Amino acid sequence: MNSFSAIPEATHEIKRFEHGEALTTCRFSPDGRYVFAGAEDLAVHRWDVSTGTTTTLEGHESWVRRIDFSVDGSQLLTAGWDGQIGFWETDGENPQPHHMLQAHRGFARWVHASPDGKSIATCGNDLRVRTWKLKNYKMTADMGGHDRHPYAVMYHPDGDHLASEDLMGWIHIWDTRRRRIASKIHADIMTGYDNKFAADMGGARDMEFHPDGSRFACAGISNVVNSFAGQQDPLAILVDWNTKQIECHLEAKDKATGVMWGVSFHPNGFVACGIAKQNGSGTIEFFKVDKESIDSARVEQTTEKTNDEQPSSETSDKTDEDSSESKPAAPTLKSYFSVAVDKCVRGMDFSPDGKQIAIACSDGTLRILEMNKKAETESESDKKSEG
Amino acid sequence: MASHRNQGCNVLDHRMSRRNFVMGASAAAGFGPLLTPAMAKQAKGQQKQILQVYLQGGVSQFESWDCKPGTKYGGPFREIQTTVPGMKICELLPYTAQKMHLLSIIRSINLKTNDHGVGRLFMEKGRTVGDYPYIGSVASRYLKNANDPLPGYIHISTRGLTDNTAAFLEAQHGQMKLEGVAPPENLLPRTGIPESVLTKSEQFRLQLNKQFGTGRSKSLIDSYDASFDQASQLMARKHLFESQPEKDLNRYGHHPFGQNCLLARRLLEEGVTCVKVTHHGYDTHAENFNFHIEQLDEFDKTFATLLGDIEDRGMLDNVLVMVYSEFGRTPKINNKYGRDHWGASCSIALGGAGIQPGAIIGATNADGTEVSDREVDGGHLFHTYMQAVGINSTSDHDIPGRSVPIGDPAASAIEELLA
Repeated sequence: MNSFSAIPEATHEIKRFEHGEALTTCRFSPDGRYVFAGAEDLAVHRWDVSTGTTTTLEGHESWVRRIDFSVDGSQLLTAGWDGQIGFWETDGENPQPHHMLQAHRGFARWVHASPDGKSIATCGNDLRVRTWKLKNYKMTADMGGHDRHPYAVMYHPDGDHLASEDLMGWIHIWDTRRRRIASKIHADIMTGYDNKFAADMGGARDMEFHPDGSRFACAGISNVVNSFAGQQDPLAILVDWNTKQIECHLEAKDKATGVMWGVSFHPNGFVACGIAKQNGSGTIEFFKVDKESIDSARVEQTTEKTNDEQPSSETSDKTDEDSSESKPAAPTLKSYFSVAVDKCVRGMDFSPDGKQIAIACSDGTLRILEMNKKAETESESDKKSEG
Repeated sequence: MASHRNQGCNVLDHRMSRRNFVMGASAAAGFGPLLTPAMAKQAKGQQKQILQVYLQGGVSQFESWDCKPGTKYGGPFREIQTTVPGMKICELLPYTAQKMHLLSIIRSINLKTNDHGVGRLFMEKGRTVGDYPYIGSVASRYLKNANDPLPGYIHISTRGLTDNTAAFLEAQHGQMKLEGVAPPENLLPRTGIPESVLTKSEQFRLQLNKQFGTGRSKSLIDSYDASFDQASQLMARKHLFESQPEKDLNRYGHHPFGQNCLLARRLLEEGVTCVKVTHHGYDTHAENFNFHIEQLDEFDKTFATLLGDIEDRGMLDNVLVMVYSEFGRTPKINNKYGRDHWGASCSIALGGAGIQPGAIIGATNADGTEVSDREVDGGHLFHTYMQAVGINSTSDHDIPGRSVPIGDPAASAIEELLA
């Protein structure tokens, strides 16, 4: 099980790279050599993890908030708020975009490469979900259905379906062959209306499928109180692919206010989420998401609810029919371990070997954390020997 | 401009002859020292009006009128060309960009405050302290035809503070607040009550009024009466509140701001002197960019439609259009992707009556952190608004026994903006 030698409880920072502007997102390259990050400038930044060498990739006219790679890892894909998708060589001394695709009118929110390596999916503020041939950048599907801005779209590992989530928490499952919506899921827990400011807030800030396709995760917010001040709860959901039901909600074990900007499945079975807190700090939360943990949370939640309600037969108006119709709420899983970060975490990614996490922080630092015990320094080793 | 006060030479007289300036129908009603009979005659039938579009909370100047793309604090949005050569605004305002030949931008406002309340008062009263009337109340006092039964100052909002906007002016010049497109509360007669009972009820109200007025200032009582009458007269135009044409709503938008702006146009058509529409949701300490996408998307098409309708109806020569906030937002983007309060370098747009269109007044420095040219504040803006609609803001209010300058004597109008 521990083929990836990852121990969340041992997570510690091993490297920190500085950039002048706040970072917006980050991804390890498939070979683990680089980490790419978007920033509050118009560039994408590449760090060589071992040497710390920085390279700036210029080509967008706006911020980049989503980075992906072609399946073979040779191409870097970037989605910019200029509506463009950038195609770059991942390696190379001074990568230039070999193509900038005007994919959306408005802002391109997301890009994801298909599992067969032939296509990409994008979504943008023109409310469209689109697929494109990677070979010639030709549009192969142009699908409408979201009434509000779709924030993220991901290919299912089968390659024939997409999942996208919009501002209002509507998740659309798309059949890419028929180019239409196959089903819809309303994750209404992930959106809220701010009464005071008369505006909606919600949607997926990150999204990822489990590699086996059995479930996917969406990260964002919940319980909108005053979103204009950043007052809402960070939350992720897991959705069962077969039933299209929300399996569970993921929340930080310690009450937090802010936004969950990252969610990722680790090969060892746990899920990690990156949080930017309202107070300017952050955390990485680790969750056990196996069936036993979810069932246990459900039982606990049901017990708590029963104890809280304790309706007497005289006062309850519910009929048997009502009860049978009411859908059980998805249980909430609390993280079992949390790593504190002194700045907001705006993006995170596991290294391909599963041993490290890269996090993009609001102070412009890219940090590499290792999920393993600290290597003993020579002096520490000597002391032990002497002892 | 302070030196213009009490000099016997009315600046407005000069301006009238110079620019063939026309005044509101209120001139015919005769508001004493502010207007000459010649001006009043000239102005008859061409009432000046004001449309205020208040972006509550503080719209970001970077995301609206003063873009700085590619700079340290510029944010993610690009600028787009408008219908005025060389004038660019944020890409979040594509419809408004097509109407900018009707508007001008002031980019050099320094309010010296980051406080919502102080900023709002400065932008409304031209002063940061003191009991002075709002723009709408001043307009109602000096532009409204005394014979016009409608309220002079109507504020359409879904929420907000209830201010004493009239200050020392008569109560009927205070804002009448409408909660969206709903009619004023408690004005409609109760259904099912016989006419005779309603008549008696009204007689009883008048009797109570008379008793209340005993020993009190007649003008005060008249003022309250006038307020009541105005509200009643508004209700006599029930069609304004009963339904809005679907065709118009499709153009304005079915959302509350669209409905409110459509009502604003109809009220202006009815002759209301000042109509203010508040669009909420710009206090973006977090998620500034996503919220500006959402809010300005709603504002842009609706406002451009409203402005276009005012122009198409030939009203723009007489309607001063203002788009403003209580301040702007910080250059620095905080860790919540937000921008905080910033009064040191903010912008507004205005046009219509008395305003030179297509101009850009002032500038900020490269990063937008401070005003670099032609600094103005709320005092200057107040004088400009007033003089644009023909009110001599350098003179005193028409209050017997008191000498209260309409505009802050320490400030003056932005002359180059006046048509």
